[in-house]
Amino acid sequence: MSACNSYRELLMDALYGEISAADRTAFETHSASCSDCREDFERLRRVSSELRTWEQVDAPVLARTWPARRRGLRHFLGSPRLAWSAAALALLLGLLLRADLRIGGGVVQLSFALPGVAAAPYQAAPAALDAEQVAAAIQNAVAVSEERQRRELALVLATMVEQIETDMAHQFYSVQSNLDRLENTTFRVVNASQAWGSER
Amino acid sequence: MDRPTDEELVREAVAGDANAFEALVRRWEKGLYNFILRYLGDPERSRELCQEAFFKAYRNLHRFDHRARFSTWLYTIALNLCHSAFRKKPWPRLASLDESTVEGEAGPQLAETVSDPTIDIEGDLGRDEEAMIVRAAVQSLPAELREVVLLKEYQGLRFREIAEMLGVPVSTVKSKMYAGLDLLARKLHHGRWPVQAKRPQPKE
Repeated sequence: MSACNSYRELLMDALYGEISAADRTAFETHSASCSDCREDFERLRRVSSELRTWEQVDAPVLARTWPARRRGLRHFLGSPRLAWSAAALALLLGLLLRADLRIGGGVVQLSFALPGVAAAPYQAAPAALDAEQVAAAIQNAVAVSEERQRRELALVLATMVEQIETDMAHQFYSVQSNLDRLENTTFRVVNASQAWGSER
Repeated sequence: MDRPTDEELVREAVAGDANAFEALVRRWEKGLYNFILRYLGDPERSRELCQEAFFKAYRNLHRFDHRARFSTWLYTIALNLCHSAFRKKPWPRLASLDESTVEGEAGPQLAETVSDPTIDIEGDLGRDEEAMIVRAAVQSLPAELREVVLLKEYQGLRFREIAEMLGVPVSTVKSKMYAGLDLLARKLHHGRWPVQAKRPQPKE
């Protein structure tokens, strides 16, 4: 029950609707007189339709992870948490880089090196800016920095937790589908052997 | 409102529009994932590979030759990844249709049981089980036939496109497809129609 070798290609074309008008005529003329080719066409058409029972599944995990990875950065930059820590970071950097704090000879001198602007030294009166105030300013800067680091750590942890949750969700899905498959197989085999047993 | 074609989206993505590529991913992820899943049989690895295929496509998007369809190009990338993944680790072994259904005994082969006309496949086992049998049959095909069957039957590519992907003549693809379907028919039907066949009534 197999088609004449020379008609196999046409048979494939006909089966998948890729046959030209001229070839169709040739194939139909041949099939009309060749029962093997007719049966073969029917047999393979049937297989082809049976194959469709293996349906597509959703790609839920991919849909979540791929855009997430790309969306990640935008999400990250757009989040209010980051905006706050970025502001804190900018403040800290400003304090560290732009402001030049000089303590000497009983005078505290603060100068800001703004780009394009000549350094404008600020002479503070010794009484107005004593060591205690300087210590307070430093403490404040450290506190700001700590706060920023805390927020950044929280952000990193949140991202990790999200990633782990995604992975776990996928693993559960995987286990679930394997269990389903196992159940189906068991069910089928039991049914089949019962039917076989009762027949003997 | 016209939906942009894949190729238009590729042009936009190459020009720097990140949303355009995301649209391509959304459009093709299901098809591509299913193709890889059917090829590899392992959801976890298929997911990784599918993601890798998209990243690879994204990196090489500027090299995309607009003579071919984007989907065909994407499937080619995925197929190459599947080839190397499969060489490293073939899919988990499934029940073979040639195996005995009764362990350690010369019981009926699975294929016989499947095509046993006394068992009403559609009624008794249902569509899921039928799909599982189909799955086992397809995955037991030799790799070179399996990939043609997957690309043609499930992804709906044209014979000409598959030939270009594999770098072989169209006639080769068609004869592989014939061989694949023929083998599947034997595996699934064992030479008989599984559902329609009626058991010959014993004569009194």
